[in-house]
Amino acid sequence: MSAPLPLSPLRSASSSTLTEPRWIRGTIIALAVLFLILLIVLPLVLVFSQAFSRGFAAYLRALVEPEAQAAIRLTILVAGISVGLNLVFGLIAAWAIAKFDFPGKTMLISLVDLPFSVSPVISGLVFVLLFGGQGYFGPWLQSHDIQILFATPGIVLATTFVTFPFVVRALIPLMQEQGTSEEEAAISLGASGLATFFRVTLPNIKWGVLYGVLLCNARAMGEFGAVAVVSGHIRGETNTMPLLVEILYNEYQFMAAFAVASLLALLALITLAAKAILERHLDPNID
Amino acid sequence: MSAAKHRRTLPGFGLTMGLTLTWLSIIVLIPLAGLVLKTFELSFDQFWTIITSRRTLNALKTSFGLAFLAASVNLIAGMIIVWALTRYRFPGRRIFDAIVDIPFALPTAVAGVALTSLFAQNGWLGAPLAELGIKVAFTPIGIFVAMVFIGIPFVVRTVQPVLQDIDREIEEVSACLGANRWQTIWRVLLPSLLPAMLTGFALAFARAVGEYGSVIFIAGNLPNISEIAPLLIVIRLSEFRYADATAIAVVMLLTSFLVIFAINRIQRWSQSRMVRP
Amino acid sequence: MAIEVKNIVKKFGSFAALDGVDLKVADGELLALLGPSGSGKTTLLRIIAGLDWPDAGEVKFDGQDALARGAGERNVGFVFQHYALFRHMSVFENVAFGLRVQPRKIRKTEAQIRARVKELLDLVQLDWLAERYPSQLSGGQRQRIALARALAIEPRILLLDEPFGALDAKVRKELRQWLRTLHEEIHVTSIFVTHDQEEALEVANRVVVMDKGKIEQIGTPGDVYDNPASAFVHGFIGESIVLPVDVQGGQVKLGHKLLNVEAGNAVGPSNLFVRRHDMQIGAVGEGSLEGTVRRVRTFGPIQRADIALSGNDTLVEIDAPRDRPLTAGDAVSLQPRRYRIFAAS
Repeated sequence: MSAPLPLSPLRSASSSTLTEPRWIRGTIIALAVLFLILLIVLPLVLVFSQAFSRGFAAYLRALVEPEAQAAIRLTILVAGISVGLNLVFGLIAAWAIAKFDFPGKTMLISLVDLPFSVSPVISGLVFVLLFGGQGYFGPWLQSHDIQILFATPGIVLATTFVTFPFVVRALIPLMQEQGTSEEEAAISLGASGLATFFRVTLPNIKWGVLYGVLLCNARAMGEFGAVAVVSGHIRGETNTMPLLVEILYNEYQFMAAFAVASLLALLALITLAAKAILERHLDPNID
Repeated sequence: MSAAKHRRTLPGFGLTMGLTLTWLSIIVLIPLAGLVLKTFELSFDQFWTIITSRRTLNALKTSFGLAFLAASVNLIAGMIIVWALTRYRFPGRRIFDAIVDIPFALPTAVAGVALTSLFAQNGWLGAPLAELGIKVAFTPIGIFVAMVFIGIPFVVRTVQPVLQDIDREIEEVSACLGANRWQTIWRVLLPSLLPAMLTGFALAFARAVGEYGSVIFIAGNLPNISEIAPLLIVIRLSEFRYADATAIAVVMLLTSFLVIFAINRIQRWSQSRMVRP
Repeated sequence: MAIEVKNIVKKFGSFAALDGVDLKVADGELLALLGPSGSGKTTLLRIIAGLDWPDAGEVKFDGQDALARGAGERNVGFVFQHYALFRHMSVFENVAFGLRVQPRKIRKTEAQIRARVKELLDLVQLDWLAERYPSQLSGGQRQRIALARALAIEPRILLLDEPFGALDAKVRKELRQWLRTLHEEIHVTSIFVTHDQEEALEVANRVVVMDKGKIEQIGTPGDVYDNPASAFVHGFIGESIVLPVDVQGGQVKLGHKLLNVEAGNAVGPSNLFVRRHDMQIGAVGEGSLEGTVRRVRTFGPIQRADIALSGNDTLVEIDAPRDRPLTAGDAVSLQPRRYRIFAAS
């Protein structure tokens, strides 16, 4: 009896019980790839192909239109304010929630998460109900000539609401995992609370902060539903880039609409790439 | 020494908690409370009349029905994608893995106009489908397609880490005990994946119900046929019919809270069932 | 510096981690807090450091109220169980941290800081690692850097939480020696927490044995080993043979058999504690207990035997010198030489 003989039936038996037959594997891969290409890749390709359908010069011309310029400026302004506010308060909230134990902690985390589960349209609606003509503060605002709705402050509020959880949610698990012993060590060595935060905590969570800011910014710049409700669509004044895409598209200026859309798509792609890089930094297995 | 009792080692709890609650109240709680308050200004009869009016009812049916259908398709397609991405090696696997996140990251308005052009009758996919007699854009099918697009990452990203975490040894044990591949998948793997699958389904459903930007371009927006509930809210607002808008919003909000509640229950159930060694 | 802890109570919910603890530590002592997990030893250490706050009681440093001051104001060096090194800082910066965060008025110049850090790294014999990061160090190296960092602020008290807990057996032995020597050199009042009796007995001048939030015994290593004050201490320190006995009118009985031992203060159902090597083995009739040898293992200077007591299902493990070889099947007698009897709780 030669020893190697039993090997081949054994091997084929084990592979048939640990993976699927070749034709099934092939079918599953083909289905997955086909689905992703048809439903996700094609729309993305279409955005760029439409944007450049009349050449690069026409593309640039569409982007330097005053309306497009105004939309880009407003989008950057609104995102800057919302992300800035959510960054500062996200750091503060993450410190309070992650570094301390207190009753009602789970409840507070669910409240912070709330905006994620509210439809964008409702996120806008709540501010209309507060500040609109028939809203709770509407008459008072009108008599004092303060414009919130259909103006930049309303857009900022709605955007801040929608992007509220991003920074906090990126930081809480990270800070909880890191525990409090480094902070305790710093305090027992005589460091003040602020020195502890800036010298010990912040350097440890910097990638997490960047991660949160990145996702927060992508959503802030791309938010459509909530902003559509509060903006009033005043051309050149309260149109952000997503709103301008809508207007141009509805006016059948497809090339211009896709030109603006291509900028937002590019932002999404850059965000995803940066996110992938950051996730490598955040992976605790690679230190 | 009563002061010592409540001292904490790390400083700043009072200050940071105070600021957190203040900020949370200004941005999230007070606006949502305004919605609740507005609802209570309606009598139940008024509320019921609005909700059961033909147009509202149809919009809610469209949103919930198509969202359920889309989430179901997401569950099936998502499982196929997760399986291919985690269990098989094929060229471009990492790129396809990254592509799954695009619906998360792409602004909804961009997705909306792109899907509409893609499925319009002269579009890349719309034209061949039209030859088969299938009209997607500006019909309920279009809404469904947009909802499938927006929901796919939820199922994939919820199930994928769980499948990755399942020890290969579990499958080897099952195989050693004489189970064939199908039995191993059906009796060993699927039960461990079930909580994640349900969570992914619920998340995709909740997102699809509330979705606005990627749907309205492709929907056609014909009242009673292809009009979704979020759009009806916007229309009512533009007509200054705040009460109508509020009533629809409350129904949607309650649904998403129910979904969150369900997800929490699913997760608690799966945690109690599978205590990690 | 001397430490005095008075009647400390600390509760976590309904669980009393510390239940009325009193302790005095003299200046320059090296004290071990020894106990099983959950005995409250780490909580006591953290309260002394100012990292936790008691629900009641006092902590005094040289007679002054320490609870009025926060962790940063107590001038206490704390070495954490898992070191808590700042992972984004080099070894040098870790050690320098306490000096860099001092108030500007008393902060040393950069040159002074550098000199002091160098001195400390020399002290822990790791000056060659100054530019490394914590993740690049071995466990033993991290431990020594954590110690250097704690010493940088010239603490009046040094507290170490399970200092050798996360290290492998060989490194533990080396570091124990090293910590003793270091303490003799710097002579700062030091307390360390451990669940390892050998570590406590070998390193400390005095040992505090804790259980369930209370102190069971305080004494020198010899004291707690030879004269355990309670059944818990006897069982926890060193290995013991425990026999359930009944004490009536000064007579000690195991089952129906009268034992030739002194009852002491115990009355009623009690436990007889004997160290393995304190059980005298002899020919049948020489001792008050009898049994049959079941199994013998021989290593080093001793032979270890399992002996089944007659009239009783109990199997006891004893250590005997090798001059009287035992074999399985031998009928022998046993007589406790040194023993303690504690009432069964």
